[in-house]
Amino acid sequence: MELTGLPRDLLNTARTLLGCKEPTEATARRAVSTAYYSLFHLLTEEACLLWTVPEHRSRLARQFDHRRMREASEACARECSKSSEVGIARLCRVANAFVRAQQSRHKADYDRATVVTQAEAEWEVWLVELAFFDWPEVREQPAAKDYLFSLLFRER
Amino acid sequence: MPVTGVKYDHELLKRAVDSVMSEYAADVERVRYSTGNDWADEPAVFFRVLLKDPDRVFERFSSSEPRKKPLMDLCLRVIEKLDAELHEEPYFPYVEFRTVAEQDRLRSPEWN
Repeated sequence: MELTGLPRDLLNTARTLLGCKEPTEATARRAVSTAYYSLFHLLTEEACLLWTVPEHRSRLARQFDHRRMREASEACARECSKSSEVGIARLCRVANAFVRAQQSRHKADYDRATVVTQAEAEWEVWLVELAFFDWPEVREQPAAKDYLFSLLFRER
Repeated sequence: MPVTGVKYDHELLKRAVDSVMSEYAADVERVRYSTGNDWADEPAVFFRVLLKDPDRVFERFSSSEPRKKPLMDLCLRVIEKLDAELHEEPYFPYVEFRTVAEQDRLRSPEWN
């Protein structure tokens, strides 16, 4: 399965920013931020696809909360780290990538006290690329569907 | 809900750094870390990994296959090692990478 649409376009944009003719810290920061949003939209789109009424999906997509998604991703990564299954390890990598990309996005967008270097941006974008690489391999697994559900809904 | 009062196990953190250095000394100049909260106010440890050879950073950059990028693979191995060492700890390990050439230019004290 090849991932297409807005998430892939955003990731391509991040890569384009990194490879621009005159890279600056601004292009590095925008690349990091854009890469995070590519993963954000990938996961929210995938979660919405589990909803069976297509007309509701765009409204559902607006319900996601970054903080909740961070909590769910860390919880998923912790749970997955206990498993030795290859597929679960890939899901763990996706969830960890989300937490890391989100922190990096905050730094890139708001933190002027530190510098975002080209090497750092390269790494951050690559980490998201790897998540895009891993996701199609795990998306049908029950654990991946549980993860998508948890991005939106908290356990009671 | 943010976790408060987390105790950082500095012995464990030092061991995690030492294990990276012993395995990747050929490529990693040094590793520093600091503790604190992340943007969500959750406890975290922030590792700063200084890479030795800046020329390798953009090596095979145009490849469309992420796994083929040797330096990125190195970074992933470093991060997975730190994850494995700390996976039972109540704080999240974030890892930043910078090259020696970048640090020579920027001279950030927290990376020294």
